[in-house]
Amino acid sequence: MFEKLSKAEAEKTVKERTELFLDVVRKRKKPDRVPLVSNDGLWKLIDQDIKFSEGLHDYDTLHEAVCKYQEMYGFDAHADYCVLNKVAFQESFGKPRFIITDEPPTLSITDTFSMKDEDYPALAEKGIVKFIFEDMLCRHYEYESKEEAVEHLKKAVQELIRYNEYCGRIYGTMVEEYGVPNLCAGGYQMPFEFFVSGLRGLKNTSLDLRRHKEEMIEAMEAIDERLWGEFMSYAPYIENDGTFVFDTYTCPMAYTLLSPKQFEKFYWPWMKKYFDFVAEHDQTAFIYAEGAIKNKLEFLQDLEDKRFGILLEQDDPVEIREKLPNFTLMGGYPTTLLGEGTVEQCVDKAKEMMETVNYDGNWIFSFDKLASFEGGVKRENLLAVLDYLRSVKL
Amino acid sequence: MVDFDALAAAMGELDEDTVKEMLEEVMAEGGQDAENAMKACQKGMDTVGKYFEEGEYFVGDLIYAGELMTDAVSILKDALVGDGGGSGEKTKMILCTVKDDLHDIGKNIVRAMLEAAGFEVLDLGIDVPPEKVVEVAKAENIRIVVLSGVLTLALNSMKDTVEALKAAGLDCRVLIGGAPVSEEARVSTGADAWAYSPQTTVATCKAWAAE
Repeated sequence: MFEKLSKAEAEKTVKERTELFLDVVRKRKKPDRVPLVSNDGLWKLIDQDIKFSEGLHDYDTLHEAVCKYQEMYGFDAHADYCVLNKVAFQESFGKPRFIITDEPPTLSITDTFSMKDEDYPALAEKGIVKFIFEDMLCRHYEYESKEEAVEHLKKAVQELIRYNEYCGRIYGTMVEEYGVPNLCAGGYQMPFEFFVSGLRGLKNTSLDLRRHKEEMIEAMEAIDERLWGEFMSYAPYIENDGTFVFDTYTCPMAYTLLSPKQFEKFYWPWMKKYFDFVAEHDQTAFIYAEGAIKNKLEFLQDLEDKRFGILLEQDDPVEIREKLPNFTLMGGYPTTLLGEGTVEQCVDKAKEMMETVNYDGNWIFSFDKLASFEGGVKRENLLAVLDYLRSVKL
Repeated sequence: MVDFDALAAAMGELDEDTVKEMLEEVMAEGGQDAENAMKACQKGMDTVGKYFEEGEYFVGDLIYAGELMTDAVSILKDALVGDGGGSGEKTKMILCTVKDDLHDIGKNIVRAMLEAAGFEVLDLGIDVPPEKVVEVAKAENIRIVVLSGVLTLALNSMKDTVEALKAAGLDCRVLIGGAPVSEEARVSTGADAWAYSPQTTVATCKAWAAE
């Protein structure tokens, strides 16, 4: 068990853990051991026997579950504290996008959209915020009046405050009571992601890539004016005080729709701008690459060494280590084995990856896919793998 | 007269304007070549599948191809129906996303490609319980079932569905498809085949239909 620490112990531990990560990412020296990061989605709740419907709405319950989870496994950092999906906030608008079931525990998201083909000029002209409030909000949530919209917005603001309070609280608890650094201090999202995750949905975005090419580019410029502006308001001033690992992160997901040629046009210009910023400011960045990145490696191979980490979901970690020596690899350990294998098989796999992936000490242990479903991970398997990896001195 | 090789090539290249112009031309000429036009479109979809396998096309292209094929059928349908359905008797089959999984984009892409290949697809939708698949398979005398899923959780439902079909004594071939499937998953679910790509799904179903 990894109990809460005293204030002094937590301060010391969080700095030690951060240094361990930075040894790996900055390649300062061979780390003492492999850093351990959880990437388990909502398995934290399943593992702690908390229903999704409860844990995703009751932040006290969620906070307690995450703390108990940390006490059980003693990770060095977490990719997420069950905050990726702002479920309660989204529900407050009155038209739920997430579908939650408790038996079995599942969280699904519907491919919803309200932006029409003919809306592109308005988005480009007004910018994302004005466009959403003036053109999208009432249409999307089927509000019959502005008054109804305002009532829902008031609820949404309250929910957002509750959500932000939870985030601040859990980040603080992990640092101050468990000595666990946060994975990143801030983030930037590519504008293309907005089309898939809300404006147009997966299907229409796919059609727009051929039917509204130039309009999409103009719209992305307008969206990015806001995104980049927000990012610039704090990112240049980030200074690591020893409580977080990477300075910033980005979470590419919708890029999996794109061929390399489309990626170059619709995604890479913004991604490159972000990477250039990271290099210019001597910062570090973490890429949480959902889906498979292997078809886009040509864009990443020339990036500067010693500042980028990438978490893999569907790629072969051995292949990516070979082709992206300039990146610190995070993850790649098969979640399915943790769910279906024996303790011996799981530890053997960890031993194998220590040789095939961590041969130069530039690997951070984590899972490949999220384990947000019943039986996603067997507790004894994960404990055995973590114990083994902690015991190996590099 | 429309150049059907050019039509197939335009479909393969996902050149929407050219495809639609050519199909409109077929209809403007009386529609007697609708079946040949449909075959050309199907040939073009084979090219789309090939490009996907080779890594030139991605998921967005498949979705676009599915939409374009739907539009093509819509343009030609009056002439095809007038011909008694165009390609003759079709093989009826079941397609669905299994219980506890709500994802339908992959399923819909596969559906478009199966229909383009001449199958009569009974799309049972998403979150479909095993008993529903059994019920329809019995009622429609189905021999081919394609089960789709995105969540790893879907593998359990796929297994339950395969077992339910066997328990009901139905002689169906079952293919599982989607993100979590693999040879190991095929073995553990008891399915007859697995496919990660729509193209493999279509090829397998075509082979089964031809038996």
